Amino acid sequence: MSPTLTFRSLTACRESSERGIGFLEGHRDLDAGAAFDEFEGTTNGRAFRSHMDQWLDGANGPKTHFHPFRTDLAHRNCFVFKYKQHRLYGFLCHPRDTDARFQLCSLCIYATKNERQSDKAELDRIESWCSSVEARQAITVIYPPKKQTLGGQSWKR
Amino acid sequence: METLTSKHWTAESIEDFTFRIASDFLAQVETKIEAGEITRAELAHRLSRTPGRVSQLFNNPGNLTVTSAVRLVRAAGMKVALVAYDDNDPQNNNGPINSEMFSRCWTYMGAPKTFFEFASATASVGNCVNAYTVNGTSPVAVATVHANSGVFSCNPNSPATTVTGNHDLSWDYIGQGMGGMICNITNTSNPVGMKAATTTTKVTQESVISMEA
Repeated sequence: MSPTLTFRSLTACRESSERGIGFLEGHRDLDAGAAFDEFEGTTNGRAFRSHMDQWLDGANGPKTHFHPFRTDLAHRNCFVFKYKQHRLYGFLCHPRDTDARFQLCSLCIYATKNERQSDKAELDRIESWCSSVEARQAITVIYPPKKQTLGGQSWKR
Repeated sequence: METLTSKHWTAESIEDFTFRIASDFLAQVETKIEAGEITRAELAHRLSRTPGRVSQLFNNPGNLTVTSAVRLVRAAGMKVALVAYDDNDPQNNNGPINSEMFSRCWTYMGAPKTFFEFASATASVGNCVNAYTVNGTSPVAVATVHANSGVFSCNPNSPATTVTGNHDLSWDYIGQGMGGMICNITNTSNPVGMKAATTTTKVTQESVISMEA
């Protein structure tokens, strides 16, 4: 049976009409939200919130704080927030059918990394969550479409 | 920017606010490094620190002091200002404004170095009417300058800008100002009773420039 996924919007960070951040949850692999909650009140939490604020403000770098994987065609929807060896991986999508500019970062996986290259297996997992119907349904609960497309059509990427 | 429905995470604690603004500041320096303007190794050398110590500095915004911030930017060939501002958010419900925003706005305004330069840069912004005086006091012509609609071109020879009116005007692009281009407007027709002259003004989508005889 398919897991019931939920999407939890990030709170207490900058709210923007252009960008949003949240956590996809409801499966044992989807541990980014739990890791972020553990970090709250610590230096790691402050760093991630700072980096998320910067992205929400419209910044596109530095890459030491966050970056997409645009040059990697197989993982072009993936996105990562970084602090030291900590990584919060997710994917970008445009869930508002009436506002195609709005970009949502749906964070999925927490990982620690010491190598320079991102783990391709983790990015593969992110891409599979990105294309899953369950993830889309969870996000559309928070970002309901004007037209009824629940699980039926893919969102614009 | 939209208003937060819950308080911003930096609202309750000075440490959180300090961490955030220090992180924004360090991001500015890291962006310069990523742009290839300086390497981390060179930065470490100029600071007489090991690259590891420099990484520690970048990874611990909470430990940044004014002195260490100044050392860092001077080593990177930059400068830093402590900027106080009022964004009409006394309870800090929306969090701080990113420091890069101030830097970009300053550059956008022509990077004035003194209040005199700032006054000069803003004198014509927002007030194009009567900005162009040739000689005398009686208006004899009104020229309407239509710039590109919406997006302004940086090309001084852009054919998208047309000049209509009783006199020929030419224009040269100087730079981008708030909401429009800053241009030199020159009366090239040199009609009887008027001198060929140049004025600097902002050109918006439909700036009306009154010329006087």
